[in-house]
Amino acid sequence: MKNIIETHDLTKTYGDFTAVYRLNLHIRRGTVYGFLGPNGAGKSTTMKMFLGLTRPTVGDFTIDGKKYPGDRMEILRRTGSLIEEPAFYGNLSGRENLDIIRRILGLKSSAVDDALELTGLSQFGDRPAKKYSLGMKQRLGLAGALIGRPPLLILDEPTNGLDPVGIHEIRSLIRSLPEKLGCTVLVSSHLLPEIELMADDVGILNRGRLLFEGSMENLRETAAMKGLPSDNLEETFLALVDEDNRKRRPM
Amino acid sequence: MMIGIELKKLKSTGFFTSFFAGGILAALVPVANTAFRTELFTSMEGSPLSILLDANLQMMTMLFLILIICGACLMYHSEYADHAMRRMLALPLHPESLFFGKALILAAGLLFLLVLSSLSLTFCTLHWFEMPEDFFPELARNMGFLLLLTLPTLLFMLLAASACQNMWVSLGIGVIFMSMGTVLPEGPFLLTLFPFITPFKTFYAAGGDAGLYAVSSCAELLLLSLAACLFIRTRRYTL
Repeated sequence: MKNIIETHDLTKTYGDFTAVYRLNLHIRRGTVYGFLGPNGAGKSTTMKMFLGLTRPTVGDFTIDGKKYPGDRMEILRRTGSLIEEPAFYGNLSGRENLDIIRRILGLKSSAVDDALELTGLSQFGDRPAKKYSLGMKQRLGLAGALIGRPPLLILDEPTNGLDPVGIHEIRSLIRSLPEKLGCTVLVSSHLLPEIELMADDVGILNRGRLLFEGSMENLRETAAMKGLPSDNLEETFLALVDEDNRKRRPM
Repeated sequence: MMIGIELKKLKSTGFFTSFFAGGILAALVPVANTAFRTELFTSMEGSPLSILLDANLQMMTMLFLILIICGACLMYHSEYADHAMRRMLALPLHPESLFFGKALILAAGLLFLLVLSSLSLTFCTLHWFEMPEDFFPELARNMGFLLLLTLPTLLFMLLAASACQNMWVSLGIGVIFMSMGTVLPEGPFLLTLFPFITPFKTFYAAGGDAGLYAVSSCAELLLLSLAACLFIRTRRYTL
């Protein structure tokens, strides 16, 4: 199977508000997929649906050939995630936090050290998580997602709170994951230059609708054909979103 | 496996310290009370256990309830404080197992409190009274009755703590219900069957209604477990 994630008309509404509308994503296996969109575009809602934290109103999706909701447990077993902000037990050390995840996933105890090393937290593993800096908390969240080296990683704003050095390190790590661990990464970020540097494919979401999906090269070609700026991702993204907003503005 | 994980989560939360200190305090209640009022108690008619329970159980039960309320709040505070619950729900486990794992630990904590109290009541009987032959079967019956009647309160409190992301709200709910429980045990019979009120009823005081209280507690346990399952499955989508 070429695509690790496929969604079919995935829709999520809250009362009158449509957070995600008829979303059809195709995320290729072994790639880094940049999920872009302004605040409130529906990125986090989509990611939460993949993790069973939000119930789709209409539509369905498959992850690694497993269909939601029937195969929810199997999907979660194969998916590492970091959604919104890092989530951890502040009273426990980083190592103990990861050990809880390891035990639930039924992994070997060496998986904890492996995850700490991958995220550069080895020397801080025994410090209580509540005493971590924001960047270290983010790394701990990432370590929790990477533990057991799952085939799919869903990362929502993984560079939030990191300093430029940290951003560079996490970007390099994410970029290396498909080759190093053979996994697929679905990553959302507001830092468009970061996505430009690490993503193979991008999906641009605005007000719950998918405006574009394809490779970076395709995006440049599409933007050029429409007469939109195509020099860098940021300009292209802003132009696409602006064009969509103008189209959907009530007359 | 979930019990081990839930126990680990409680490290450095103050849960174990509070149950240990609270248990000692509750156990000291009959010792101190009997030491100060020895003459009054030893001159009373009835079995030593019924005298000691009548004189001390309300205060001891109050301490047990405070510990259950604090324990339930602490358990869920560690889940909500740094969004750990969200992480747990994105892992391949049944969300109900988080709740029932906590319930089992809290029940074990309550059992520990009852064991300490039983030791204390045994000491008081040995030291100040003449030990009757049927003391231990009576003690086991009374403590078993108290355990059964307190379990619905424990589940109710845990359910309230799981529903409130702000620990102070669940703590407030617990304190309000406990205050009601202390003033309502002598109210209409049906009212005395509710959680927070039943734990104040001793086996001796229940008399012929003891069986009814036990059955109603079992029914409450069943209902609260079902409510917890339904609530937790729905709650997953709202965090």
